[in-house]
Amino acid sequence: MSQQWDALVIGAGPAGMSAAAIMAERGLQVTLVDEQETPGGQIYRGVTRPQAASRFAEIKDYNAGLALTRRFLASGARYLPNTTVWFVEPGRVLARQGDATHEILAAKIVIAVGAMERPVPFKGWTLPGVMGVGAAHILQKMSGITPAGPLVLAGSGPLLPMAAAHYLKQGAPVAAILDTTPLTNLLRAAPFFLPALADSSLLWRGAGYMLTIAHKHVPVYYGVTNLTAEGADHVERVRFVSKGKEHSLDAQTLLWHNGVIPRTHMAASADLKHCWDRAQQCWNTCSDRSGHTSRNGILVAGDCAGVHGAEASALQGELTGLAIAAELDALSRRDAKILAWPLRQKLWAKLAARPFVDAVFRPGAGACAALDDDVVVCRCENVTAGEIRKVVAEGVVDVNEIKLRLRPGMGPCQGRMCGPALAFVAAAAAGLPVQKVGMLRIRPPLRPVPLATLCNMTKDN
Amino acid sequence: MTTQHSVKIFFEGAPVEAEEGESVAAALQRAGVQYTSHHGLTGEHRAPFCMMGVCFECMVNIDGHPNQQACLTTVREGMRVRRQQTGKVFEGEGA
Repeated sequence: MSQQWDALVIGAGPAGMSAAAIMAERGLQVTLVDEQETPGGQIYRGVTRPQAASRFAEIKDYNAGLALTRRFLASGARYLPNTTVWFVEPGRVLARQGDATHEILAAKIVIAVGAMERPVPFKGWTLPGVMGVGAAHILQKMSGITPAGPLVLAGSGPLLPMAAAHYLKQGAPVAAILDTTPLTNLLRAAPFFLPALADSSLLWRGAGYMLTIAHKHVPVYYGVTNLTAEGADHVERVRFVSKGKEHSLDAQTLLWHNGVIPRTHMAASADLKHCWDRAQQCWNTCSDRSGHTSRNGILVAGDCAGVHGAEASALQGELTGLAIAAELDALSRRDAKILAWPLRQKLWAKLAARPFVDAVFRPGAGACAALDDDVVVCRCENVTAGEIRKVVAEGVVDVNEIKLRLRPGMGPCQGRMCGPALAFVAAAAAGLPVQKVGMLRIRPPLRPVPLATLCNMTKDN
Repeated sequence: MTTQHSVKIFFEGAPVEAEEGESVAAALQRAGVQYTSHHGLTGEHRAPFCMMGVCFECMVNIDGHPNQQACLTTVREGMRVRRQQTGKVFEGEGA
């Protein structure tokens, strides 16, 4: 008979570790599973590795990550690394660890799988040497690797100047920064500036990065459009238009960033309701302020339900953990409220700056609409923007129907990389708001599972 | 400064020095490997894009097992890594 856990947390990032720690500290039987070998998620990736202190760009982040990891590891929660969840339903999860499949039963499941960079296609984005800025961060944090130069950073979002400033401080060969933020965004963002001062540390950081970039005399191009990566088998050149002029730069690495969106795959596979976030132009898992979703027994915490950053994620993890502790009678509702109050205060301050940041870096609806027909949208199945538009012209506008016709979303990534762009391209072609063309339906297994592993199932004891 | 232990893996038969605890994808990146797979439909070269397991561009064959995401697999001494097809993978082509 499988053991019934009080709570199963999926993801060892700030939200997951906080939720697991606070529940275990209250005496609940908690298991946390994570696909990586060490804790930290993406933002604190590799924080327990020997050289982490020197590899994290900001010592403040390193310290925060390490402290949280220590708290989690000391809390008494069972930690299962190298364990990849591929099926979730209320009360029951199936996960792969090595050659075995584990079935884990839990009264409450907390999905805390975090976020990913928004995947935005452009011409030539499938060439080797083109990577996400987040990918470069992971190479830096885990392995101390700086990408080969000349290095060009392009896109729109707070991570862009941050990454550029860090590379410049290290002396990496940054050739240029290409900012694709629509110039009209600054007007839109202006009303949110004053409330943003509630979390002024965020804004000061941003100002600091801009100063570093200016100081090193790295050319920054604004209002960039028509971005193209070119090369025989690897990126060699980057072409673009800025302020009416065409430019061409040599590049061995092109780092691309367009903001961060929740990883909704797992929640979608569990049929949780999602809400369209107009400010961030993405789907969020609908949840209340304690992480309850549309299905009993499954909760969410952190950036996977709505992107607000690492510190907010940790606070949300604790709030979700407290709610569960109260529901499972490890804590009175009154005590839970008292403990939650200071956390909610801190969370409010963290969220205050977001509307400003979101408005400045809001993706232009025009970006996907302006893609040439030959740009690849689905990398796995090689489906182009033109092919999608042809099918939309025939009256097929729902992304799931387009998927049946052209196969975007049927490759190994299961639509993780093409889902957003597929929706934007289809919506633009159909003249509909993006949320009206639907969300890709996700079916388990969420990860490739060899048949032999499936046959090797162990019940949790 | 503590130094990481070195781990030796093989890529397409050639030895690659890796850091203990890092991913196969990172080790290949450091070694200057230009691409890790051929696309199943177009034959073009592909390489890791996200380094965190969502893009599936880094799928390689490790010790005979196909479709391993290099960015989510930690290096082990003596590991033998080979390129395979990515994207649409045809029957029998993974190995």
